[in-house]
Amino acid sequence: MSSLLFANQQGLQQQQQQEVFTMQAIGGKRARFVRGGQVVASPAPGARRQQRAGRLACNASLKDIRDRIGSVKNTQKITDAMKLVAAAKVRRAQDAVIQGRPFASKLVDMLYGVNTRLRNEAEVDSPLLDVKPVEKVLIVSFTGDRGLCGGFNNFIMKRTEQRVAELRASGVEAELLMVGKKGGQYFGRREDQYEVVRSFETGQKPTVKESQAIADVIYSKFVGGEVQKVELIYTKFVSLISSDPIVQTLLPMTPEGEVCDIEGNCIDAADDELFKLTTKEGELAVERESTNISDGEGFDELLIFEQEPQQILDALLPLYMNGTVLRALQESLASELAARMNAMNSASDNAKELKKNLTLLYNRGRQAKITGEIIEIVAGSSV
Amino acid sequence: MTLKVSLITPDCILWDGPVEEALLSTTTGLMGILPNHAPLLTALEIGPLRLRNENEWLSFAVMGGFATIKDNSLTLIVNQAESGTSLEKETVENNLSKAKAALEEASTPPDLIEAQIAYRKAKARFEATLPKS
Repeated sequence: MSSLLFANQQGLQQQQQQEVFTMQAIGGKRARFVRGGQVVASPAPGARRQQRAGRLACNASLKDIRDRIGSVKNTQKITDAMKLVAAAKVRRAQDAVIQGRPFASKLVDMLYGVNTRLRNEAEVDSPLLDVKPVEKVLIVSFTGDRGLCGGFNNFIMKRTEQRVAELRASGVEAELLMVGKKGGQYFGRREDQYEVVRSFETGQKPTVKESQAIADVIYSKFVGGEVQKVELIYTKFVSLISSDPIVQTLLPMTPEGEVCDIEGNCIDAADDELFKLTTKEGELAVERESTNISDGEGFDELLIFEQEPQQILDALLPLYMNGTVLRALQESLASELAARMNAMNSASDNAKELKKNLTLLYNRGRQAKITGEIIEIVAGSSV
Repeated sequence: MTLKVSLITPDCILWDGPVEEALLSTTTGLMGILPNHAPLLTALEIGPLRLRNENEWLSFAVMGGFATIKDNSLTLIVNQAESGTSLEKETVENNLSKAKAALEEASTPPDLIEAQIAYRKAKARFEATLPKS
C-alpha cells in the first residue's frame, strides 16, 4: 500500500514537471527544454511529440488527462483571442502611418525646395548638422511594453547590447534611452553595466506627443553637447512574418535630411515606404509599397523667404527629426503586434496539437479500462 | 476672397478650410496674412496661431514648424498643435507657473534647453486659451 502511495506521488511530481514543459511549449519557445536540471537539445518536432505523449501514458490517471485537456482548451482560447486582438491592432497601426502621410510628403517637398535654394549658399550650418569627433553616443532603442510576442523584445535588447559592445571596443562611450517597458526593465536591472538616461513607454498608440517627448530629450542631449551622435535601434516592419532590427543614425543629419544607417547607406527620404495589411485568399498579408512622395518641382522663383534659408532649415530639421522618431515608434509597434500575432498563432497551433494527442490518449486509456473490466467480468463468470 | 488654410501635424490634419485672416507667430515676430498674399515661406515659433473664420477668432497652440503661402492657400506644417478650445484654462495656468519654476532651477545645459522648450510650450498653450485682444 505504502509503495503504491509513493508511486502515486512520484507520478504527481512528474506531472508537475510536464506542466512546466508544456507551458514552455505553448509560450512558443522551441529550442531547448530543461528536463531534470539537464539541458537537452530538442529532437525533431515529430519525435518530441511522441515522446511527450509516451511519457504521459505511463503515469497519468484518466482524470488527470481530462483536466489537462480542459486546461489546454482554455489556453488555446486565450491565445486565439490574443492573436485576433493583435491582428486588429496591426490594422490600427497601419492607419496611423497613413494619417501621417500628408505631413511627411509636405515636409519632404519643403526640404527639397529649401535645399535647392541652399545649394547656392556657401556653408550650411545648423546645430543638428554638426559633425563632431564622437566621444559618446546616445542609443535610442525601441522595445515593446509587453511580452508574449516571441523574440521581438529579445532581438532588440541583444542588438542594443551588441552595439554598445562594438562602440566600447572602439573606445566610444554609449548612453541608452529606452522606449518600451520591457527594454527599460531589462537595462534597468543592469545599471552597473549600462547607463540608462531615461525610459519611456511605447503606449498603445504612438502619437506626436510621445515622439515629441523622446525627440526633446534627444535634441537637448545633442545640442547640449553631451553626445555627439544619436543612433536609433528599432524593428523595421517588413512583413507579418519577418521584421529586422536595424540600427540607424539619427543625428548628426545630412543637410538633405537623409537618414543613413551605420554603414553610411542613405535611405532616401523621398522614397517613402508604406505598408498595407490586406487579406489575400482569407489570409492576412502585407504589401509594402514604395512611393516617391516628392514631385521634385522645387519652389517658385518669386517665393519670399521671410527668414534666411539657414534659419528655415533650423526650423525644418527638428521637425524632420520628430517625424523620424514617430516613424520608428510606429514601425516598432507594428512589428511588435505582428510578432505577437505570430507567437499566438503558433501557440494556438501547439495547443491544438497537444489537445489532439491528449484526447487520443484519454480515449485509449478509457478503452483499455473498459476492456480490462470486461475481461474481469468474463473471467469471473467462467469460474 | 478667402484664404485656404491647412494645419498639418504628423498624425492628423487639425484644420482644413477657408479663413479670412490668419495671425502667425513666426521666428521674426507676429505676422498677419490676408488673402492674395505673395508667395512666402516662413519658420514658425512655438506660439499661438489665430485664424479668423466668419468673424470669429479661433486659437491654436503651435509647437514650431513652418508655413508656406502660395495661390491663396496657406499650409502650416507643425510639430504639434492643440486647439485652444480643447485646453483647460486652469491646468494650462498651473503648467505655466510650474514650467517657469523649472526654468529658474535648471542648471546644466541640457536641462536648461529642455526647460526652455517646456516653458515656451506652456506659454503658447496659455496664450491660445486667451481671447484675441
